[in-house]
Amino acid sequence: MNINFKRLYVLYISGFLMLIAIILLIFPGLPLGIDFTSGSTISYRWVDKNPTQEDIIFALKQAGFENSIVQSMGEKEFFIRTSEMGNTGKEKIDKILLERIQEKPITLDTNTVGSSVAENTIRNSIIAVFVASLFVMLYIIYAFRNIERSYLYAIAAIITLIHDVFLVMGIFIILSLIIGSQVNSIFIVGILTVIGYSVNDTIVIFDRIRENQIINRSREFFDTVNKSVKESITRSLGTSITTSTVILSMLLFGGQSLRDFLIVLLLGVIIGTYSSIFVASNLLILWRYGPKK
Amino acid sequence: MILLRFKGIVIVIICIIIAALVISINPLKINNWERGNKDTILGMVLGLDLIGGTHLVYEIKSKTGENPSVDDAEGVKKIIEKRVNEFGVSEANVQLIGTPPDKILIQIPSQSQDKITFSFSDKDPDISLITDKIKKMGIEDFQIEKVENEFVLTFDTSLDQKKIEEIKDFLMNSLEVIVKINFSPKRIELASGETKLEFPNKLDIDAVLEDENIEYLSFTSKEFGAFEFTVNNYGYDKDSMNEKITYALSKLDYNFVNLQADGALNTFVASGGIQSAKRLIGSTAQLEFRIRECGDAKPEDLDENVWELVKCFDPQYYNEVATGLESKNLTDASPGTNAEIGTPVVNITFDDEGSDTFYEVTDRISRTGDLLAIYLDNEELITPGADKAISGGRAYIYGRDINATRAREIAIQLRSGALPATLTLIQERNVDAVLGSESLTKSLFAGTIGFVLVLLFMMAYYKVPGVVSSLTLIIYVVFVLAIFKIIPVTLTLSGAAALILSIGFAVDANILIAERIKEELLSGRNLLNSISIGFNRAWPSIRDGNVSTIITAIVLFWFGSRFSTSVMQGFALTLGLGVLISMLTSFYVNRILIVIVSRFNIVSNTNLYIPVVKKNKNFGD
Repeated sequence: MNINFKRLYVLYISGFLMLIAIILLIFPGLPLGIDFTSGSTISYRWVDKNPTQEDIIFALKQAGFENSIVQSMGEKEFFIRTSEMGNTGKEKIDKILLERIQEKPITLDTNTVGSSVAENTIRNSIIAVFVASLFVMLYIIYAFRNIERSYLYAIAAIITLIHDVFLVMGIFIILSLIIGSQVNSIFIVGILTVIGYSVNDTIVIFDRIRENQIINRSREFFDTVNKSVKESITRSLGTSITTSTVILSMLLFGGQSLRDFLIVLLLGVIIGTYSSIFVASNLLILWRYGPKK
Repeated sequence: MILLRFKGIVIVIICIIIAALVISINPLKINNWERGNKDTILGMVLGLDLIGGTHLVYEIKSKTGENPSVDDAEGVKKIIEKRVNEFGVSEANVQLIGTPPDKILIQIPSQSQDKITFSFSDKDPDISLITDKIKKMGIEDFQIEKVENEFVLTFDTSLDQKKIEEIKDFLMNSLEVIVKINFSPKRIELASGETKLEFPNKLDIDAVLEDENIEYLSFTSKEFGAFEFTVNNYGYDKDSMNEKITYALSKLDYNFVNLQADGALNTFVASGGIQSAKRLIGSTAQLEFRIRECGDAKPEDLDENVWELVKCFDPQYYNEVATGLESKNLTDASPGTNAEIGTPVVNITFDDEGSDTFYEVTDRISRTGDLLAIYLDNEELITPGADKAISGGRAYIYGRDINATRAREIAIQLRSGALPATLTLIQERNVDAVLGSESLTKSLFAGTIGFVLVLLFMMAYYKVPGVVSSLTLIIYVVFVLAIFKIIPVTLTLSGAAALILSIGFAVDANILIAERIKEELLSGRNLLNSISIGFNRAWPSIRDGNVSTIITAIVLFWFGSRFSTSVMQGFALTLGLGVLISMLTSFYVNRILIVIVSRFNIVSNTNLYIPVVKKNKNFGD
């Protein structure tokens, strides 16, 4: 089996997908959630009925405030943070709550609030990831110093990482249009996780290439890469299957509040596995032989 | 070789036992060192998103009492974020309320239990008296114990400010204090040529005490000018009874040589998460240095000795002038212990301008004999003198209420800068986890199921190495939890994500090793050699992948702390530690275990080490 025989197609497809992701990032862009925007808070109290957090979340969803944060403050009292709701929004929520809980809630107070995450958080995260990537590149150059042009491995690993992050973001934007996912501060963590996974996955395959190159220096580079990818494919799949098992079971059977976050993780694992097998190694071959072979 | 393995397994087992003990004992306590929380899973410190916390709303007022400007409100938010972050409250939620903002909402995760530490200057009052009183206040769940010369009250539920004041008030005002005084006699030359010693009598003292409105509970007159009487409200208080009594007694014609009090409240510190957090948030942290010019005109009727005592300490005699030295002149503040005075201090460093002023001020007071009065939020801390001018811009501050915890808090406050406005607490409530406790329990359950599935897959597919790997993974989880608890790492959702990722890495390392062993076996090596070579070959991959991740974690942590982006910081800390431990356990523990296991005859069949059994000559036997 020669899994690299269609490598140019694979790289074209990945490049094309990245392009779409970049376009999506420009328009419509990442759907910023209430952690990043200003919004409203309401405190409700009930006298007789004792609603659950799920009741409130359901009512908010019905009223169009899907990504709200609901915290119970002891018995029968709730503190809610939503996107900016205005008077009509508030009336709508009140009405639905009355229908669902069968008792009119007492509004203790309503307020407008500023964002809970500093505006420059996203920018700072990008800078941090950029600097981290630089250091990882330096490490790869050092770790692969025994084989020629080790910097190419470093560059390939970082391109693969960028590819993974863009693709995850792109798919997330599409999902946000369908199921209303939003970017909150935890999204940043999800992306950081994707980065960690991607780098590890790529490096394991590169390690195999390094090893095979040292064992048999006379073998054609193309064959070495092919052999290495084939040898590590069981491991790549094994790891991604086990990791996805944990994430999937949490996604399917766990609480609703983690949904968006787990989606990012799952996308990261799938795309990370794909790219380490198909993108990273094909980049090495492309650079060695040019687009002809 | 076998001996080496034996040593290895013993070390591993000891580590497992220690780790298991660490996570199962709650709370874990060794002397003053305490970890673990009775109320959370395995006693881990959990963040606001995973466990509820305290919901505080403060009103922001400008220094002149008006509504704050938008800039001031933003400034308040920034400083508070910095303070709660430095305090180690990971991922608190801080938001400005109102347009234009005039309130601030702060949610901080549940903290360790509230504590009150206090001590008495001389003799301790009856412990049962204190216990009874607190029970009467409606607080049931608390423990009281004596550590060295301090009493420590530990409360299971959080105390509000009112209750704390009530306890302080009780300790200060309601416990009886015995005051002992000795007078030096007056010598009276009798006509006979003999000298008679005369002491004041009860009536004399009665009169001066009454003059100053000092009420005593009982009064005993002893021999040779010694008296004992009991009062309340002695010590601690700013205008303490001490000064009042000193002043009253100075009116007598007799000099007193000794004045001491038993049991006066000496220190009182409320600590514990919420209390500390509230103190951290609420105070403006305005540090001020003033020159205290001691009085120079002694009133005629005052005794010389008394004058020395009061001229620098009684507000009616001294005068204070501002030096212009303030919080903004500091470049650094850190908690520490001063060897000379042996108490916790806050070390401060002035900027250039501050250093110059400090030099001038100390130079001046060293010549005049005046004092330097140091105030934090208008509370007097200490009033040291100076022997000579101090250059270099370094100093330390201390005070009666400053213990190690308080020193740390003050250092954090000073570092974060003074608040541009004042804050008043207007709401304090308990709130549930941001993610909802029900939803989280479900997710935790689902995660566990997922983990068990992974273990089952490993065992079914990789057979013996899979079983050993599963064991290693469980050991890894135990190690990680124990270390997180000891440090302690605040577990939040981002931490949990990092934990899942690090478990993924541990699984990955185990799979890498199992695959390598398989390859070596298939190439015809014997079992022990295959294991040994398999591990060696898997190591570079494990190392490179993990080291890259640790590098990423370090960079993210550094950026996280610089930009106070706690989400990033929490993630990076958990990930870095998790991966480091994962690398070590999955390599070393796994290796020790598998070498031992492979020595047993029942599992020495090489087929048990190869995932997909290929038709080779061993098949079927």
